[in-house]
Amino acid sequence: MQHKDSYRTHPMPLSPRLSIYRLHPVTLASGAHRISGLVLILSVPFYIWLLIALTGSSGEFQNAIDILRSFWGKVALWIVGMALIYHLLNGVRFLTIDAGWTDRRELMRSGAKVMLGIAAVAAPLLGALLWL
Amino acid sequence: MAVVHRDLGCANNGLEDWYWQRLSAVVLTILLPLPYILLIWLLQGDVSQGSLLEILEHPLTRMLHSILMLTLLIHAYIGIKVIVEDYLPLKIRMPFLGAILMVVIGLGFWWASLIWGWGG
Repeated sequence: MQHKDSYRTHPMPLSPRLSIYRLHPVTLASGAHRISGLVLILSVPFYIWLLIALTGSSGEFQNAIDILRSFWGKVALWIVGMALIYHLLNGVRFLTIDAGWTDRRELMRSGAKVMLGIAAVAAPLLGALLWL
Repeated sequence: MAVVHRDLGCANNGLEDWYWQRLSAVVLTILLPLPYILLIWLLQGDVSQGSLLEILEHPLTRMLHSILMLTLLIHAYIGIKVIVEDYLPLKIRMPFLGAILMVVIGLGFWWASLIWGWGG
């Protein structure tokens, strides 16, 4: 079968082909969307665990609050918060691309740069909100 | 000319995944910040457990929390599926996605039992 043979000799390329493309803002913005998405998914079991503690006995509630206010609790909230801010804003950007409003090459490039810029600005601001 | 095999992954039609991913994204844009804001409020403010439970037990909260849970798990599953189809070899995709689906469904029931379980 020609179809099967062509699949064997020309396997489906990875998307994006990490070993071939050079990293530029659009690739970085897209890769960061996937990574932040994975971070958000991994935070779901922790959120459920927090809900159990917060709705449990008053001792468990206080324990959960103490954990949230601890150094590592704040670090976790910072990581999840950054993932949330980035994934949400970049997701809106993807929706505007799908809607055909920003699907021009220059707009996609500048949009990716804006997203990475927003993340860079949001990182210290969220840190300040959590620690100050 | 070489014909590149069009491997559409586990779906026969990618459009449906694409559509659900966007639809759930719109809902999540509104609902997903809420639990995070709640956690920040708990961290910053002096919130009693009573006032937290009052919010969580409100019927509207329970409805919104359920919608958030469902859309988040749909969005997460399709998101993982897209990444898996891009980077995992064909042979292990199906068992891997099957396992992910089990985890997603399990998390959903666990989460839902919490949303509707606490309080009266």
